[in-house]
Amino acid sequence: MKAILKHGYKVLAVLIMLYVIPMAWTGEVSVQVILHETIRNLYWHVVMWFAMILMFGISVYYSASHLAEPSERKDIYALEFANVGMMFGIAGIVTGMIWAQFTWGAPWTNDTKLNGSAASLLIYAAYFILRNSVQDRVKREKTAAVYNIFAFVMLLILVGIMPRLKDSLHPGNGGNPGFGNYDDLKGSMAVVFRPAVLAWILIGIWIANIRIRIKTLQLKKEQW
Amino acid sequence: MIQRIYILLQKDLRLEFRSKTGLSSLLMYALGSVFIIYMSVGEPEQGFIWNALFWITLLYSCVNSVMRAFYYETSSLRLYYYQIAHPQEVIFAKQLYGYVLNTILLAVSFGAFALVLGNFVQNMPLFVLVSLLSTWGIGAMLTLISAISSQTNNAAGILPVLAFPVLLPLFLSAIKAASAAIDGEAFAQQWANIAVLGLFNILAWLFSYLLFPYLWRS
Repeated sequence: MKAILKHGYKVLAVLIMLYVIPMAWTGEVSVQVILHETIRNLYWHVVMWFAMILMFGISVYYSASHLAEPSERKDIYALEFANVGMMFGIAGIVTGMIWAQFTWGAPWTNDTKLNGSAASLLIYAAYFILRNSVQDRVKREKTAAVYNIFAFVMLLILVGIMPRLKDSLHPGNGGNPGFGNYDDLKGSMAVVFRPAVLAWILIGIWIANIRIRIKTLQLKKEQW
Repeated sequence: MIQRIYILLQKDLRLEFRSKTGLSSLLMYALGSVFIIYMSVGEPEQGFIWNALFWITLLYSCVNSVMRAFYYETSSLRLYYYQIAHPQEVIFAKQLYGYVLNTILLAVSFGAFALVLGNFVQNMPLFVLVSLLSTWGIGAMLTLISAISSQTNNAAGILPVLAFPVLLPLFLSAIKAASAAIDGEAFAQQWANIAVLGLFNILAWLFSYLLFPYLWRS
């Protein structure tokens, strides 16, 4: 039973990915003007941001609980989930740039969402720099936890609130129709999109899990 | 609580005006930048160039002013504050101090810009509101970041690294709204930007209230 819980989610992630990858390339999609077949990028680009927010969310949960009750384990969890979140963020930017190249005509535009996501990734990059610049372990963990909470709220504002106040080229903003308006998306695309979100989140947890174990072993070796 | 904040603020301001080196070095910084701009560009032909130069000058002088908030506080001084005041009172006093300093800086640099490079602003009330809100936002945010970076071994080096990504969206809104004010646009079109600037101020205070006590104890 324990083994199923421990490894089951990894098997599930792989199985879902085996279903998602062929479906993403060959499945039925709603072909719109300008977008054409690039709408398939929905299965990659949008999913990355979902996974990123969740990874950063887990990270900030451990940071907050570290402030409430400090422990080295929580600090490692917060760090590694932030690392994986950063990976998803970079992947989200790159897939977005590819998509923008073919729909908007340029990989980077002066768009609220683009600026917001770039700024929030820079804020998280500063989190890693901050960690490295404090020598004392207890002080580092505390400062990093405080900054992580700060960074997460900034992230929510930059990618969640700011784009709603201003126009954006993204679907669903500034008079553009949201993807939810395409009727066929609710059927044939949702059955690929939703499992894809789950699979990437599971993969993120898997990567974080491996990294946490490596980090814990390294720490043990140092303290030996 | 308000009384203690007031006393702490008064102490900071008194120290500043007594030594005079801090404030005068900041003013020197702002005026020097204006002079260099005048020598190299002269009177800019278009409003947006004026705008860009103005915000660059303001950014660097504000960063310089607030950077010093926790820089000169020795650990023994901190221990003393810890005994006489709540952490929130300490950071609020520092933030108000940043507000005062940045308002002076804003007034001086705008005066110098208007005098030397010409005044391009057509909608003055909007410009004043936007620049006040944004310099205050910068001040409040930077005070908190300065508190975080003072925990590190290289406070002066880490502050810009932490500060610039945070200030980036604030500056985007500020520059857009200010350039609208220069072009003489009405208030009504800029509410979104003004709301963002106000949001940054509120956030900075909220973060300080919630998070600073944890930093303070170490």
